[in-house]
Amino acid sequence: MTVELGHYALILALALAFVQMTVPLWGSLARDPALMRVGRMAAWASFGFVTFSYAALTMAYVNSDFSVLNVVMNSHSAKPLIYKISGVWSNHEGSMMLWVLILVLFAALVAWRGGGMPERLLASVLSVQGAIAFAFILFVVVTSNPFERVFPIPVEGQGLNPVLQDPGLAIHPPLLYLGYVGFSIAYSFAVGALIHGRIDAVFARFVRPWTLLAWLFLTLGISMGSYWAYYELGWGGWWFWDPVENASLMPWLMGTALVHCTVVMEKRDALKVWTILLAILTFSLSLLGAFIVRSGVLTSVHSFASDPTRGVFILGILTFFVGGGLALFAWRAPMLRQGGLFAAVSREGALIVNNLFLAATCAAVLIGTLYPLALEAISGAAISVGAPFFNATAVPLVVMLLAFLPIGQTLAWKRGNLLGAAQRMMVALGISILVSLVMLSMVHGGPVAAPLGVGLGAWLILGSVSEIMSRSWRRGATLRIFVARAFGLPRAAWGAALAHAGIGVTVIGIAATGWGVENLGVLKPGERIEIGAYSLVLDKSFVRNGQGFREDVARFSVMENGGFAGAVETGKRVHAGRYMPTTEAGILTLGLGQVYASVNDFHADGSVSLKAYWKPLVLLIWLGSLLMAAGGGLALIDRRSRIGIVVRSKAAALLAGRPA
Amino acid sequence: MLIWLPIALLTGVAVLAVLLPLGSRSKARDEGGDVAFYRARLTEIEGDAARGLIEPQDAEAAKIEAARFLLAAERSGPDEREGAFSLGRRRGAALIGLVLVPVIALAFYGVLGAPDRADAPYAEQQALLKTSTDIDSLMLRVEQQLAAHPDDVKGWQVIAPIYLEVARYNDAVKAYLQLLRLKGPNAADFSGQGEALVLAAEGVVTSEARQVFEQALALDGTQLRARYYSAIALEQDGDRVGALARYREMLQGLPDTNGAAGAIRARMAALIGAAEPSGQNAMIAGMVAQLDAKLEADGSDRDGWIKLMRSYQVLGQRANAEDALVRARKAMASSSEGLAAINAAAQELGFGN
Repeated sequence: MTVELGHYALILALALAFVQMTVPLWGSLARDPALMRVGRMAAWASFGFVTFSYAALTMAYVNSDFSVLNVVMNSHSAKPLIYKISGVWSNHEGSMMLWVLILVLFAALVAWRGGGMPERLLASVLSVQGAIAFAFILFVVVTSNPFERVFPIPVEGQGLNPVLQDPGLAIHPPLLYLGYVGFSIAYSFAVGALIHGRIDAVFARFVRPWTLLAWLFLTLGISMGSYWAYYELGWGGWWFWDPVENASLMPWLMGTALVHCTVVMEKRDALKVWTILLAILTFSLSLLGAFIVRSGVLTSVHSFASDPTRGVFILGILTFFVGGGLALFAWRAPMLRQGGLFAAVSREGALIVNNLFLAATCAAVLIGTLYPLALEAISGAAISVGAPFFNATAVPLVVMLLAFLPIGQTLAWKRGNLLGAAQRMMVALGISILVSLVMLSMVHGGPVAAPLGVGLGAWLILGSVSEIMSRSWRRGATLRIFVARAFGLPRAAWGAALAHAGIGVTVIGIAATGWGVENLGVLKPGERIEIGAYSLVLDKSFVRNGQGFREDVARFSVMENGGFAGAVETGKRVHAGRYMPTTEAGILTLGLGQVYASVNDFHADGSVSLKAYWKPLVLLIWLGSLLMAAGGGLALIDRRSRIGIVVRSKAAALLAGRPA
Repeated sequence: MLIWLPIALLTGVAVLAVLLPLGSRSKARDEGGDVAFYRARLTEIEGDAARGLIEPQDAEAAKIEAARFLLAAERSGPDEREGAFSLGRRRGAALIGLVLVPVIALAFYGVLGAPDRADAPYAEQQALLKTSTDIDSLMLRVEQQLAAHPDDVKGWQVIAPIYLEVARYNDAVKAYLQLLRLKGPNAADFSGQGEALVLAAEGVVTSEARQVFEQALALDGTQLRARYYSAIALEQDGDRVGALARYREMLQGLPDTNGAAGAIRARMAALIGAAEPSGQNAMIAGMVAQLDAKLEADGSDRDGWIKLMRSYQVLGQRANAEDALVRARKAMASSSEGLAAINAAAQELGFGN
């Protein structure tokens, strides 16, 4: 009965989403508070029903209820519990359930935290969010129903794709979806405000934390996905310019622009129209990503088994929300009141430059991703736009943006002093150039870009340090006051500095890939292969049986200067019921670098063909992204961006004996 | 139909979620929009300045700016006017909750749902399998038993014919091989293995199957199944007369009610009709085969023999007709009158010197 009740609860959530879409909007237009309040209650109830439904599906997975088709297709009774739970979102139907769950979760959070928002704005926002939820729940129920039953009941399920039997599956998709779907809130705020016709500082203050939250999760989601691909696929790379990776990168670039823009809007009441447009575009790119993955227009590690009705349905959703949002924007934007003025050389000006670079980068990625798809659709010619295209377009734009970033960061609001900013940054710039020069002279071999990249990374890190220092240090002040002032800086300032330093760390990690060494070889036991300062010696190859799989394993000793540094095992696994073997890469972390070994083949004579890499500082790529997310988190808990601040400040104002 | 109770309950909760806020009579909160926001910001700046978080001159500049925005906001006036109260509007919204929510939900669920389907958790299904009597679960149980005890003769004996029945021929071959391994060579299991091989080859008696049947017949020449497939092997070699003779032989001593007899007769009919496989001839062939079988059992019917010869002649099966003449002469050996009639008929048909 649980399964059927879960199914019914999902359908009830659909009906409630319809109410949430229509009634509050009606109330908002008619200025009827009772109708507007239906939005909050409907959002909570929808969240309750979808949670119940999701829990019922998870129960079916945990209990291996093979009367549910989705469980039969994607699970197995002998699977470990963790993969039964994460297996729910390993497939198209289940992942759409997770998508919908996060969608209504965000709506419920807005309803909960939005108590201090102007009621008409809240009602419009919830209404738009309700429309998005309605579209996606309808999509799930009609085209991708995870509650479909089978009869007769199969005795056993078909198991989960072995590539997905990994902790990465438990982490990467939920984070990514929190990011993607989180931007739906920014969209709902933008469209809600356009309907409402008022975009003011209150709006900016409320939209900022949601955008930041979504950005934070998307950053983590992309970064974890990258690390997962790095160690699981056995290709040795961490970013492949795969269309699906690009599909997540585009909303991230746009979302990054949006996060910066909302700061300007909140602090300076400027760039409103642009902020609204960015909010619409960011979520549109999230939807585009969903379309690319689920419509079957491409095949990759990410694509789900797809059928055309789903593609058409998502295309309909995409067209409605992107087209509708932009049409509303075109109609309403000219009526918006423009805000604060600022000089070209100012923090605002710098942020506009940042936005332009990010938008241009995003456009480059968009073209590189969609052009091959469009060409294939029109002419049938399959071309591949790979790394060279993106290295020639997106990468230079990002490098220019990053080179400019530390200076922009130090400019004052409203009217900045470029010379003063440059002077403040002299020390940081000097050290960074020195770092590059030292690298150039010390390290031989490798591309010239590598030391320059390390210099750029250093410039970003030092620029952030310098920003914090120059804001805390005053001539003649004691060290104690300096420290006190530094700690007294708003958390948002620390967050920005940390996030920017995090980019620097990632850039150093990327630059260091230039010094990476790779080598190929066919080894017999006892033979060795050299990679840079390390060598791998094949100890033995053997067969191992694990839970549900059989693996040919090659075991290597990693030697450094003749000493034993560690062991790596790499192998080929064949899972029960699957014929495609998967490669298990062997990774040995040494400091911040990694020895990465990936076996190609086991030969009959006991030799093993192998690809091995030494990747110096490679962990910095992901550590940097963690720092970026941590910076976002710090900015989020800044008391200024706390969501209920208006209410609390009002209470404070009352205590101070002022009229609020 | 216990499920309709919680369904009704859930629907009730959903409807209430819409109706409750509509019942409230409270006024809209007066947010004051930007005005309140900038007032709050002024307070905040003062607080920050008092705690030394911002420099006094910075605080002053920020306050001036916030105050300017505040003035602008006050000039543009408050936005949160409340609309006129309308009972009709609330009733309309209530109707959406009260009618539309259950209708949407029940309509979708009515089409997509399966309210009569119970949950079927794995553990429960396994328990059910242990007591169930349908063929699949029986097979599964025997298979699980055999996986644990591969020397269980009885298990193999049960499962081998079932495999044939459910068209899992390769599994059947393996099962019979297991039986031969456990019981030693015997005609019945050789025949079973041979049959499985033939069915796996879609009816072709392969040379491998032939050898197996030969082994079976070497051990027991009366093994019906082995004889049957050996006859089919002859058919497939093109030796129709030989095959027919074998079938006739098999029918000897088989009661009509025996299922195998029916199969053999059908086979004969097919063989006789094979020369002209049109619809009508199939029926004629069936009748001829029946007659042939009858005469083989009781050869005293003189006219029957003549009819049989004529039929084969009409069907264009000269070899069978001649064969029938030889058999008729043998059957009529004791009756000179019958023999004469047979010979005359053969003369008339143009053969049998």
